[in-house]
Amino acid sequence: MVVNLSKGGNISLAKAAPALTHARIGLGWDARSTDGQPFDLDASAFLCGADGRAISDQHFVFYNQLSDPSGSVAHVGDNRTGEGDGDDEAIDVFLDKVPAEVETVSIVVSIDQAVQRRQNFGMVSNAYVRLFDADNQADDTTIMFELNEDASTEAAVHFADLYRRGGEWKFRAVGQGWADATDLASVVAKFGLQAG
Amino acid sequence: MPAAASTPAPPSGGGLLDLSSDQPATRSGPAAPSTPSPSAGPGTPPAATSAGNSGTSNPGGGASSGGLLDLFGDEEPATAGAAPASPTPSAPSAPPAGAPGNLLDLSPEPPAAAPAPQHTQTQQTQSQPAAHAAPAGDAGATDQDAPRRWTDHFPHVRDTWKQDDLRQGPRVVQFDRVQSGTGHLTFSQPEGLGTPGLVQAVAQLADGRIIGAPQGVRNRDPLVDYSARSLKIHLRLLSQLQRFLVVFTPPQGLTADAAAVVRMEDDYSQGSYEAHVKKLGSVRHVAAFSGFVVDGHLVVRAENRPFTGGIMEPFAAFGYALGAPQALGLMEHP
Repeated sequence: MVVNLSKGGNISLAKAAPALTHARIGLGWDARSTDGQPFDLDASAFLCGADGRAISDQHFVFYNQLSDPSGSVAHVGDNRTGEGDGDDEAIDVFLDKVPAEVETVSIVVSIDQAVQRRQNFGMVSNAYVRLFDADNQADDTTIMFELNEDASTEAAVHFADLYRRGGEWKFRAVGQGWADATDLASVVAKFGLQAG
Repeated sequence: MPAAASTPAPPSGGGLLDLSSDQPATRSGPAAPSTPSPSAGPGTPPAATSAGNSGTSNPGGGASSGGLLDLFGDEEPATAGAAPASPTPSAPSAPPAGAPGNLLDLSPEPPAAAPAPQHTQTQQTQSQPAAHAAPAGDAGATDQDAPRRWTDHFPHVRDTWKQDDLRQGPRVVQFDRVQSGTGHLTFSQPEGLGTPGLVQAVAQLADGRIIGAPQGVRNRDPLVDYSARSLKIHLRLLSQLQRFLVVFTPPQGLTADAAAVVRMEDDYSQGSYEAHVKKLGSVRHVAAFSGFVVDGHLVVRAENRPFTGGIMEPFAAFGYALGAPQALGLMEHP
């Protein structure tokens, strides 16, 4: 069963997948157009507190830091070409291990060297984020959000949030890019982390 | 497995290397925990020590001018109260310092007979200025029951590259994981020499292969990328990297006491790092910076090691067993 979310929509995981403890957030995309330059999209996760800022540098999960200190959020791997079927990159969230101070796990995708290669999400098609139960193959529930054209000029997009509300986990489709975030470094700053 | 070209011996686990004084580099006791091996792949960092540099006063110098960090100033080691240089818009914040005790041991046991330069190690005298920041973790005081962070093995190496530690005069800077994996490191030609020299580099990959970067040749997605006056290391590709060495080849015809600055800049943190290379008229090549990837962290050390032999000499001294220099695009002269 696929549950499609529209931009801004949210769903309670307690209701959609009551037995869910190991959520896998899969991300995928296809390069719609390219001049031969490689297209490298990177999925990242920011573990944020109540203030919406990443708790620390160590709570930024990306290709060079594959999990947070608690191990509750883990980057599954780095696909530098986008080739292959299925999800291009994925991030695992172990809901029962997420520390109490983490209110939101924000999922972001950014294009590496977007400025140098003159690339943006307008050159990307079929971009999506989906959430499913990685441990329960019998449960085929997938919550899906497909990115539309809104972020066509941006190089980094906030795809989705996994967040706590009223004692339960919810999933929200964000799909919002940043006009002034041209690379992962500038995205990091958006979540309150300092570069130096 | 590393290629047959180069498999440096693993660094020894015991003792710490004092880089702070003009004396030959020293080793202190008690025995320190074994140094962590790079997670990037097989092979280990080479003997990138600063010991016994014939003409180079040890750093411990304070802030450089223009907000940039002078690693090899002739100043006395900075003391508490020395104001760090203020950054300017063109001179972004500089990296922090470790304690000038500089207890970083990246070296293997010294070879029985090594080519120049010699890396002598003697007993260290405990003379670390109290003004310097406490190390991130002191091996002797570590709670044996608590999980050890890898930085506990390098108590002088700070976790973050902070401007307020500029006065501490580090030779080594460690990038955190975010800094290590984002942006580029750019090594630029010194200015003011009249004719340009060469900034050359060799990198060993996680799979053991050794790469250079022939001038003017650009791969589609290079780890090491050359332009006319600089070379860049693409940190997005850090997972492919094990270590690297940057060598400056000065132009010919310089006076014996000519000096210059090879600058390293990090475009993510906007930090800048200088290696002051000296006596350029009497040397052929100078090892300027060495870098290692340790558990996803990039650790860069300013070397300032002069060499009077061919271009292969500095790389051999740092444990890179290379074939023909031309195959890696290395040049004897600018």
